[in-house]
Amino acid sequence: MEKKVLSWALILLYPIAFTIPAFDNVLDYNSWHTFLFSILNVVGFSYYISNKETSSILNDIIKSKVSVVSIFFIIWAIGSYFYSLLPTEVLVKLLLFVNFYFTILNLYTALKVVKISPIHIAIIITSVLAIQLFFSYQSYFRILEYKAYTFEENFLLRGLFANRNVTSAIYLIQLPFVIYMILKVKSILIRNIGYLILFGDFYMIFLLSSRTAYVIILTLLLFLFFMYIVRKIYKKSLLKNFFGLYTGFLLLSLLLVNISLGFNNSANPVERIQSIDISETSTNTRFRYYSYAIEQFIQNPFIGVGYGNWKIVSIDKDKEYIESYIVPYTMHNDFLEVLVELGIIGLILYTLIFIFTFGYIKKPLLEGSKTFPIILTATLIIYLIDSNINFPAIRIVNLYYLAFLISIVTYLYIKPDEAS
Amino acid sequence: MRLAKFLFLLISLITLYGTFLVNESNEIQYDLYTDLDTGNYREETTARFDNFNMEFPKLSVSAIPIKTLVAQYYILGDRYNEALELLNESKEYNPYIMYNEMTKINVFTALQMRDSAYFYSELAFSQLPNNQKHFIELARSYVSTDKYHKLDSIFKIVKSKALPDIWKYYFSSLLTDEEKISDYGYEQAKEAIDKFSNRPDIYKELLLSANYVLMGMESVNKALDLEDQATSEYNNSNFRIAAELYEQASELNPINSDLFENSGISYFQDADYENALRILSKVTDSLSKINPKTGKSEFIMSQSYYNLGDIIKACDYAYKSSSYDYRDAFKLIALYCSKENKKSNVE
Repeated sequence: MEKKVLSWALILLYPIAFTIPAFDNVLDYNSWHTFLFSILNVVGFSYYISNKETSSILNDIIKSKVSVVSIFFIIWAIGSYFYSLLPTEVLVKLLLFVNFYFTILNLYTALKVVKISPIHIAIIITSVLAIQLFFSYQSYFRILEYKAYTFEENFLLRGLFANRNVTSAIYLIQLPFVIYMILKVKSILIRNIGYLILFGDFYMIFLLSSRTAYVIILTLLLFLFFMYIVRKIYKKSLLKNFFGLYTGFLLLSLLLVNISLGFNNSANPVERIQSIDISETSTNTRFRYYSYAIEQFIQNPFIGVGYGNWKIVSIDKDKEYIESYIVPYTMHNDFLEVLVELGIIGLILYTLIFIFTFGYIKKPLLEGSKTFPIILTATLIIYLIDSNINFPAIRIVNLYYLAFLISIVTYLYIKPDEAS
Repeated sequence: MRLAKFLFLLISLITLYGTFLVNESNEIQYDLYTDLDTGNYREETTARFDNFNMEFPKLSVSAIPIKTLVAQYYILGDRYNEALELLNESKEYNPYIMYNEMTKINVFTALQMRDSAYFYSELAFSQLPNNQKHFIELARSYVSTDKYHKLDSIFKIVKSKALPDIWKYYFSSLLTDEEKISDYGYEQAKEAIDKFSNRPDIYKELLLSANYVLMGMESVNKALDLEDQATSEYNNSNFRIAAELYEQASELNPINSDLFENSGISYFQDADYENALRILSKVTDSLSKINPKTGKSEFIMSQSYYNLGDIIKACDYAYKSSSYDYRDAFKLIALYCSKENKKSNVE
């Protein structure tokens, strides 16, 4: 009983942590949330290793491929302490990854203890999304009381998160679970609420006008269409399959956003999509950073500059473009950042985390008939696109969703022989 | 496995302590950055320094060494040794951002150690030349150590990406010894006037400093004195005297379009329309580079032509003025550009 209560508490408290205000003003809420995650991780892990049954569940996840490569990644990153320019930064950045790792262990164990089903996972995530959306819509309606919404106000819609790019990514990563809930839930009331949340989610993503979100939306559309063809589910009605629901609500919200904002509004999605241009400043800046990554990798292919040290070294690389004390700070691509910080071995280990995760879902995705593997793969795709354009690996909120995804995947699809 | 789990627990506890330290640091950094942004270095912030762990993390969220941020408070409190101690301890934390070096310049400037300030100014500029603060500090160091000949060379390095403030500080540095201004300096002043005169409202100080370089400070200051006298005469309705004083001022500072316009308006008020047209045409001439394009000069010229009986030109200038959105010009179009008016003028 006690372990079930604790497990439910953990499953619910991780996302609730993002709504807890800090005791004092902080420069970056990421540090406060990471601290709260550390508390949850210590409480959960210390309990699980003390209990015989949960300890055996922990053994399974610790021995899994994802966990083993994560441990090697941590060890490899710790090794960079001895050659990096500023060793303490190695440890500061590692705090995030170690927390991410413990979150996987705890969530996997918690899911196993409560024996949760995919529909319950989808309901929990949809409920969390509804709470998060509430904060964004609260700001949106407040703006509308005074003026028409334009692109200039989009930072006000960031809700619980640091900026609109993070918010968009978080709202998107939960979207496939809402679709799953609508498809599988039996209660008409909950399904109707699901329709409302799905529409509200798309609508808010369009209002936030993050261009990364548009890239993700398009890629997801292609992926779901591909699965629609592979699974041959044409006979099902539009609102009874994932592709129809996704496309239908995408178009509906796009249409209503266009009507409500007006075609000449700077926040209009069509206008924003047209501004995705490879000659544009932010795109150019990204390409410049990526060229530094290749340069740095050629100079130092095996060990890199040290974990967490790119933010220092990048200043020297980008010195011709720095006009104040605002520095590149991140690579805007997590994989390339790992490559320059930890070399090719670090990159292989980091990539293996995703490859092994996909490895668990690959068979049920391509050979099975269930919808949940499609939902999980869609979530993985969203994270991967975001991590190739932005920097979710330095934000605990993004890492939480990745950890939750990995723990769900391992919980549902890990092979018994690997677990044993 | 039991040992591994114990090790894991230990790591999770260390992680908890580490995140606690990072969060604590983040709370104090909030105060540090608030003070830095507002320029108001509060005592409440310094009260937290005694118990402030600056070793973990060593860098702030914007990659500046935390000890360097704290050193600013010691400098303000004239505790230079303690400031230098923190700066020396943190000099290797982020050797590329040059914030440490810039803070050291403040210490050495306060201690009148010009050579040291000069050394760190050069170091900061050579690492990040496009940071305008680095340019300004190095220009200041060159001026204080009488190395005027080097000002042009550093401006050449940053010119292609220079923000307006860099142009302004370059000219200001040149003006500290007018005799040493090079031909290159004069060329840059001309270029600045071409480049920035389209927005005199925003670049007022920059244009004034470029004027000083080109015309010489004495001429510009004399022109300013004459302008004051002229304004006073104008306010007393002595329009003829005001017009002549403004004209004299415009000869001393021919880049300032206001002087021509005010002289033209004063002649107009004195009903001397020929002189008003003569002087205002220097602003509106197609080759003129000083036309502020407000439509004001064209408006006065339109009225002057009308008063001289040339309605076609009056209408023409009314249209020119309206093309710059000079509001009253539209009334003149209605008055001067009707068919009857044009017809009577032809007759």
